[in-house]
Amino acid sequence: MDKRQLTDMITEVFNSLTPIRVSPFFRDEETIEISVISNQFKGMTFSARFKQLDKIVSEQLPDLHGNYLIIFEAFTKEEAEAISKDQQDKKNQKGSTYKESAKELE
Amino acid sequence: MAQESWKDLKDRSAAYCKGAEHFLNTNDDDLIQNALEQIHLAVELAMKSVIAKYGGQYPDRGFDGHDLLKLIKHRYPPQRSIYTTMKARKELSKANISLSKWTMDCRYKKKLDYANMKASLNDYKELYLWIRDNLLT
Repeated sequence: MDKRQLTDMITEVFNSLTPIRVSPFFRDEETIEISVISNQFKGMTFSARFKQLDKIVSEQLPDLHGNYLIIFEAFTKEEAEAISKDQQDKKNQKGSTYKESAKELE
Repeated sequence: MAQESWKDLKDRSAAYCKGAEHFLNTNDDDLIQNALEQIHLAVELAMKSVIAKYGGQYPDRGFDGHDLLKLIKHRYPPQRSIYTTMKARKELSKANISLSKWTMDCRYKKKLDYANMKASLNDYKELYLWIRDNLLT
């Protein structure tokens, strides 16, 4: 299965959370970062969000779950917007701003 | 800097975990931040201890020496890593949850709510205990 197919499967697997956005990113051969923006996370600790996302992947995409280290990011829309405003002028280690870095991931 | 022995690293990681538990049990908002730093160090040193135990060279300088995502995938002979061992034993969930972004970053933020930080600390602790009990016996 190629990465394009995997990306489509990852995007669909979180439909039960009615996500505003799902962004998978293959960081390297062993690691995938999955960012999910959903207002269903309201009132949940981050720990509970990550456990829910991990459970969904382990049940619905067991091959993926068994082969990759998966780094989750889970925010409500409001939290994601607050972080974007807070970080938009900061630069990462490569000297890219948050916006530039986000584009690199897409 | 010379590489420390795996037993010294294991002992130091246990001490940091003990410190984190002490702060956690105070139920003090200000101290939980310290507890997160301590448990992060406990996991970091436990990972380095595994690498040293099996004949590897752990990174001991700069950002790489503190990056748990790099340490968990750092190879030691014969081409193993903590990640490959957890994968073989179908235990990757502990790493997925403990090393997710908010958990890794929250120790740098001030005055986040206690429930969130406590939950993250317990996730870190689960990963620490797994490494200790499965790879450092």
